[in-house]
Amino acid sequence: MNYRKLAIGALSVVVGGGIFATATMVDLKREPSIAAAIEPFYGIHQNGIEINRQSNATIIAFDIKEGVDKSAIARLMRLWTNDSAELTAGRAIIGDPQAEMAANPARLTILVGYGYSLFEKIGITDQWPIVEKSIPAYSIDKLEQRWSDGDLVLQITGDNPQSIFHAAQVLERDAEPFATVRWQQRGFLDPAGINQEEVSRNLMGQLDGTANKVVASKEFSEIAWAKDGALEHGTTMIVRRIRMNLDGWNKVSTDSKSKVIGRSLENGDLLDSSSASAHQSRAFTQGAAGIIRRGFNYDDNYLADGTRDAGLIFIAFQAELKSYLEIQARLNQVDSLNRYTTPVGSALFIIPQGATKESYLGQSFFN
Amino acid sequence: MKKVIMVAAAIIAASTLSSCGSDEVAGSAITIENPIVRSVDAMSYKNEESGKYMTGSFMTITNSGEEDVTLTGGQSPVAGIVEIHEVIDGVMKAMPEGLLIPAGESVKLRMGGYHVMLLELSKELKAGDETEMTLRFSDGTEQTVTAPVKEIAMDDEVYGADGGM
Repeated sequence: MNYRKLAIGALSVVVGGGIFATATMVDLKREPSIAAAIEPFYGIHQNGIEINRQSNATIIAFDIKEGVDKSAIARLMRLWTNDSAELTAGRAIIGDPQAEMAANPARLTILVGYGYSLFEKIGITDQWPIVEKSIPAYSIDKLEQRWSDGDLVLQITGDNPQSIFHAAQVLERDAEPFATVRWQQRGFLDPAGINQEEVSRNLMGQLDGTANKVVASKEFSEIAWAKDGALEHGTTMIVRRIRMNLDGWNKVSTDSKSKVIGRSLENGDLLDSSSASAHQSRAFTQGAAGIIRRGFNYDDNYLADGTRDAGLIFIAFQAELKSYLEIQARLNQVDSLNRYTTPVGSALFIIPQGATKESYLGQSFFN
Repeated sequence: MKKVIMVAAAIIAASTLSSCGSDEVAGSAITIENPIVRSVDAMSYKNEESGKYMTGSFMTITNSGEEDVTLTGGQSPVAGIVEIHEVIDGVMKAMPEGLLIPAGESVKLRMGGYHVMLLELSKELKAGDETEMTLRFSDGTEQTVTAPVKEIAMDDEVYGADGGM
């Protein structure tokens, strides 16, 4: 039921030393402003993972410049932490050349992560908090360097492509003395206000991420966040660019499409007679710890051969990387979906815990 | 199901401004937030006699106390002289009396407005560096902040945020 009322103690007034609070009824059926909505930045976890669907994403990977050392990365992290705190609150940073564009954050979040190559370049591989340095290349992959790997990553997500663009500009500008952009991927889902109660559809028309746990649930927390060690309160992030053969897919009947996935195209329900090679059968088995999927669709013009470069920016978060690796290995063997999809980019990052007002992102690694 | 949430927001008039910045000093009503220093580039002013550059520093200063406080000056390991300046009609002027931070208010120091001027720089500050500076206030307190050095477009000096083109 969406009939909710919120009684807000209206601003108190100080009169002759006494404080008077009055209660006003505010009808929440009135839509709050999408533009003004603000997501918290400071917290034990970085924001942008355990959050209800945001409509747009810009993911940027950077390579650090020659001569940039650990203390320089610490300076960049202090800059990015401060920038992110301001931008996500809808405030321009001092010296922002497009200060006016900071308004209307629309649930803007900014997430920072690191690749193993960063730890190598600044000589702190002994602090890399997980066993894996990269994820394996799978037989189905046709990876291109221009969509793979990176020393640093920014995931800038929200419900307003304008504020995302602006944030990306500010963060890139402040990174300029330290790093160059390696790749950028932009993605989209249904905008705020459309299908709010459902997961979004990918460009094949499938409901994507049906198996995700509910945000702020115990199950979500257990899958997403590392409980101890150097990555405590952080997680691992997989970014894979999955190009879709939409021309081929469009020739398949609706019924056959559902069978490839093992779920109804209409409502995402599991099909009773799902074949063992259907995507969902391959992707999920009982007992798997699971992953948090937060992918976005992409549509980036046309390739040299005239086919549309469109597909899915597959993004997965998991405290235990092996949860992802097991799922991916099964998909690699026999997945009906493989005929219509080609992974062309792949990257692994670690996501450190969130920042407080007294600390910066990645402080435990770069201090 | 009706869900009614009572939120009693009691706000005391004198403390509407938050004072939880990282640079807060115990006993001081002054908070300095987001200090930055403009990097030295081809557009930077240079003292032709000494051959040394000068640059500006910008920040937000909040006075959460009940008394007005004035920013009177400061010092920095990288600057021979630290002064408080303002830009009026595109012309930079020193403020020997200092900059008033009224009780309960925030003052933004920015390009084209009030700023802390670092003169006689001992080195050409580059984007990506960090600089320390200590600012002095009329209530007898001092605060030391670490400010990142960043590229800031010089055009702002003339076409300030409130000025337009």
